[in-house]
Formats: sequence, C-alpha cells, structure tokens
Amino acid sequence: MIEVEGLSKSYRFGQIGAKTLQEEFSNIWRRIGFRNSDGLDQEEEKNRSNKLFWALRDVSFTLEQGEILGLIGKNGAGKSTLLKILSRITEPTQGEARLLGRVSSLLEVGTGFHPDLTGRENAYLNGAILGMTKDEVSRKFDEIVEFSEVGPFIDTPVKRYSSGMYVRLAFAIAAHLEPDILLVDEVLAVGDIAFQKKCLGKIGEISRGEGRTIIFVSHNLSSIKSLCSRVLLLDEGKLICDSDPTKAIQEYHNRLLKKEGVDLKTEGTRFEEVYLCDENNERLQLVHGEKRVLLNFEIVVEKSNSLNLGFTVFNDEDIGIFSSCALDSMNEIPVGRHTLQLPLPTEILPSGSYRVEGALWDPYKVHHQSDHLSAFNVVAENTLEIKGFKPKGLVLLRADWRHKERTSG
Amino acid sequence: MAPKSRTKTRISWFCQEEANDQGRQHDQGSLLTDKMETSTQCYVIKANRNWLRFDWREIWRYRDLLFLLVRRDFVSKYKQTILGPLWFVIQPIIMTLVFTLVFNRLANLPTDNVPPMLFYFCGLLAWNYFSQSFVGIGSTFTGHAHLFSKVYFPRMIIPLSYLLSGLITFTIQLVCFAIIYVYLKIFSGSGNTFGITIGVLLFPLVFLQLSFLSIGVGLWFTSLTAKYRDLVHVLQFLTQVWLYATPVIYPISKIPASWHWLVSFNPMVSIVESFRIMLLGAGTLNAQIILPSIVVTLTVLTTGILIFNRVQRTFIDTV
Repeated sequence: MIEVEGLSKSYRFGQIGAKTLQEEFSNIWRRIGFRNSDGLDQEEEKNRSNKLFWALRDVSFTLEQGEILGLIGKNGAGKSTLLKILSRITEPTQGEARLLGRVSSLLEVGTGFHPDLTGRENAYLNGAILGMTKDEVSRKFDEIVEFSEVGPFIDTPVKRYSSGMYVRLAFAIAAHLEPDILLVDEVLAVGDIAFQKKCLGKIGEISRGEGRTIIFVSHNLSSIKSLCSRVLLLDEGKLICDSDPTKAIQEYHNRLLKKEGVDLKTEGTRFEEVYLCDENNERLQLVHGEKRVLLNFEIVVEKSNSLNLGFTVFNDEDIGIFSSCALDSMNEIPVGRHTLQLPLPTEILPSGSYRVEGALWDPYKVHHQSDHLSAFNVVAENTLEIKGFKPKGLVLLRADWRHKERTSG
Repeated sequence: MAPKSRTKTRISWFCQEEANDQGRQHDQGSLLTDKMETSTQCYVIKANRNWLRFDWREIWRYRDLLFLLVRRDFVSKYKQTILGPLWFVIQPIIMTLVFTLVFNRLANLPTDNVPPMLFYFCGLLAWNYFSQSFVGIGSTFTGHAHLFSKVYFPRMIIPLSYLLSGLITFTIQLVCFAIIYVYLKIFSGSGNTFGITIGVLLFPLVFLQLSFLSIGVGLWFTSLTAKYRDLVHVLQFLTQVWLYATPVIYPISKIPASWHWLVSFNPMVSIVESFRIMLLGAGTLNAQIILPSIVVTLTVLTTGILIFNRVQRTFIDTV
C-alpha cells in the first residue's frame, strides 16, 4: 500500500548540476551570516525561484494493496519523475510518500548486465540488483530459464546472445520478482512484441493472483486499459485526473487534441472541424463499444466545381485502414457551410489510437489538406486483447462463429 | 490544522520513523513498531531528510548484491585474458623490479638494509591496496551513473565492493610476498637482515586503518566529482603524486626528523612504514607520526561517509 502526500520535485533550469563556484561561495557567505542588504537578497531569491522547473507539483494519492495503477501523460508530464521518487532513485523536493512492503522498480530491463558474464551469472547479479536475494534467484532459476527460452545458452556469456535472447533473459528475471509493490516504467517498449505480451500477461497474472500493488507507466493505452484498475493522468507535473481507465484516457485525449490542434485554414474552401460522434450526437474521443459511430466533416465550400472530399483513417503504426470519398456516393458537394457525415465501422478496429487524414480538392486545385484532421482512440472488446495480446490482423473480423456437427464416414 | 493531525495518526501505525519523530515518550509503542519493521519493510520517502541518518541494516540486507558485484569485478577483469588471475601478481612484481633497478641501482636510494625486492614489494602491498580501492571508490558516481539512475540499492554497496575486491588482490599479493620472503630468507646471504617482528600482531589494526583511509578518501573524492567533473582528471594524477609523497620507494629514515610532523599528516606514511616494521623489522616510527595519521584517517572516514550520504540522495538529478 502506498500513501503519497504533496509530492513535488523541482529541477533548476540551465546547466543542471553545475552550480557556479561564485554562487556556491555566495551561498556559503549567506549561511555564515554575512548578508548583503535585505532588498538585494530578496531579489536574488526571486531569481532563484524563477529558475526552478517543477517536474512534479503537489501530487497526492493513496493506493490500496492489490491495485494496479496506470500513469499516463505526455512526455515530460512527470510520470518518470514520480516513479523515480517512489523507487528511491532520487528524493522529492517537497512532500512525502510512504510505501509499505517490499518495493521493486523496473525502469529498465537488464540493468547491470555484464557482457562477459554468462546468462546464469547475470541472472543472479541482475536479480540482486533488483532486490532479490541469492536464495530467491536460486529457487526461481529454472522458471526463469524456461520463461526466457534461452535454455542451452544459459552458461554462455551474454555478449554472444542475440539481442532478442538478451532482452528475453532480462525480462524473465524481472517477471519473476516477487515484491509487494512493483513499479514499472515503459520497459515493455523494447524486445519482440510476442515476448512483450507474454511479460505483460505475466505481470497482470501476478497482480491479480497474489494481490500485488503495481504502478505502471506506459504510452500504450490499450495495455493500460487492459491491465489497470485505476489511472492517474499527469500534465506538466500536476495530477489532472484520478479515475477509472476509460475516463482518464478520454481526458488525456481531450487534452492532447486541444494542445496539438489541427492546422485549420481560416478562408477558402476548407475543413472547419472533424470529429466523431455517437448516434445521439455526443462527441467521442474514445470509442468503446458504441454501436454506431459517425464521422463528421464540418466544411465550408465556396465553389462546388466537382469538389471532392476524401479521407483515410490510419492506425498508430501508420497503416491506412479506411479510405473513402464523398463523390463515391454523392453527386456533388453543395456550396455553403455544412456537415458531411458518414458511419465509421469502428467495431472492426482493434484497440489503439487512430488519426484521420483528409483533403478537399477539385480537378484543378487542392483546397485544403491535413494529415491530422482528427484523432480518436479505440478500446475494443475481444478475447485476445483482454489478455493483453494484440491481434495480428489490421481489423477484427466480427463474425458469428457457428458450430456444425460432422458426420464421419 | 485538522487534516494534518489526521494524517499524523495514520502515519504512526504506518511507520516507525514517523513514530520516532513524534517523540519517544511511549516506549511500548516503539517496541511494537520495531516488530513491524522486521516483519514488513516500510519506506518513508521524504524531502530533506536528516542526512546524518545512515541505515547499516539495509546494507546487510543487500549483502548478496555486494558479493555478486565483487565476483563480477573479479570475473570480468580476467575473462578472456591468457594469464588470468596471474595479473594480480605480475603487476607488483614488475613494479618491484623496476623500482629496484631505477631507484636502488641507479639512484642509489637506501632500503634500510633490507633486500630491495622485499623493501619495495612490502611498500607496494599497502600502496596497491590503497590506490586500487581509492581509484575504484573514487569513480563510484561517475562510473555507475547509469545504474544509479535506473534502480535503487544502498549506494554504499559500490564502494564496499571495491574494498572487497581490493582485499582479494591484497591477499593474493600477500601470498606472493610470503613466497619471495621465504625464498630470500633461505637462499640469499642477506637472510639475517630482515624478519617478521612481534608487531605483526597489530597487523589487523593497521590493515583496518588502511581500509578506513581508502574508503574515506574515495568517498570524498567521488562525492566531489559528482559535482565538479574536472576532478575526474585529477584522480590518476593525484594517486601518482601521492605515491611519491609516501615512503614506498624510499625509507622514512631519508626524511629529516624536523619534517616528520609534516609528513605525518599523510596517513599512508605511518601505514607503509608499519607494514615494513611488522613484516621486515626495518623502519622508523614514533608516536609523533602515528597519532596524527590515526586522527586524520578517522576524520576523513566519518566526513567521507557523511558527504557521500548527502550527495547520493540527489546525485541522479545532476547527471
């Protein structure tokens, strides 16, 4: 269980760590008691606080045993700083945190691996670095080897390993940690995907089965969604949202879109706004099991001269999924301000983030083109993703499986 | 005020340290929290904690890591080398030969009437242990920045692992020294000019002082390099200068007695000289040299631990 109260961390701007000697001396000077006139001192204080950058600002939360907490936010939002403070790598500037139980942090896999040592030796060393005792590693050793799939090479120096084997062994050790509290950074971003998923599954399994408390940082919203019971959204060091995953992810997208903005034109034939909505005209940023999702293009048309509107929906690997053009089914796009609407079959999309790219053009001219007209997230319900795997297909086949008796002979 | 008192009560069952902060007036309570400490670990992460606190029990909990690091150091150094651990003894032997040739034969520096081989080797025993530990410990922060930025363990483990590695090297070199000693005692004509003295009973104490000094100086050095990177370049250079300021290649008897007060502030002087007196029965020592050496050593050790403890808390922010 974890209690965090008013945790803040500030860094100094500029050349970090390199306090000038002059500053150092003036500090000592002040401490000894040889103050300059008070006014000057205050000004200096002001300058100093101006140079501070708050990586984390007054974050408080309580986590009960067995909860899996996801941390989301943009780069630099303070996720890693929070994790580093909780794993005692650095100290907070203000506030405090109390952690009850054994803590292990996994900010990287294979920390402390030495290329000249064998897989076996590295397993013991890495285990010890992560906080296991020798006996614990010995007890788990066979399991680790089996999980890592490096079997016959366990007594070979790891510098002869392929990068895949190296990462697998490192993961396997980490996956067999048995702390009460586990802090995981975006470590799952390396290694081959199949093995990542295996580890993710293992982490989920451990926490569900044995009541571990886990804090998990990831940019992969679908694994956050499938693993976590609660999500904290951080932005510029502040805690924005502490809620269930769906709501937090939705909020995250609202903020992301607001910040990124769409490169919209202000005159001529143009897109004004592009968004998803459900059948009640409620806008959506997160699609999660809605039956009918509509894609809306609010446009301004000045000349209708064979004007066409086309778009493509891309997934997060930049593979196009859907493309369509307005004139495929319309005769013309009339002049004026209006909304073009079409249903988007989002039920076939696997979990992930998607963006909409599109253009307005006629045979003579491209009027408006943007590769980021809109973005949305999908959380899909299917048996694969619930276990943390990603389907290999680009789209899900929503079909009715039937069962048919086979008569032999 | 109300919310604050609520958290206080909540903390007191939660953690021992907070209970202590509230005052130790209730003894029964602290007994209970002591028990809790042993059954489950509890950490309080706090800003500006008292930097005089030092958790030795935690180092004990991480003892496996300590030994594995020593092993890594040992194995990685000699894997894929043809001569392997022989390098432990080749280095001091060659140094001894060079010293004998240059300083004894060419420069005609006296060796207190002891065979030069033994004279230099004996000095190098102490010196190598010191310089190896010093250079290792002195690079604790700069050499492990990546590790420190990724995982927590008591940072003091790293300096201790260097000290233990040094101990292994020292033991091997001591055995080598013993072999040369026995050989010269039996086969050379000068066998009666040297011999172990009863003072060797104090050897563990002198060795302890040597270890304290190595770790103290190393901790100071690495704490300073964490902030002022320039000092990295000073390390190698400093050990060389220090070698010449220490009677490894010359006997202390060559230093005029009126200067003894000055050299006594270099604790290595009394340590190296003690080694020779204990193992070879040759050398000059008096309280005037020994006492300042002990005082300096203990001061460097305690201040070194304190400053290291202070720096390690936020070192990673400056990387």
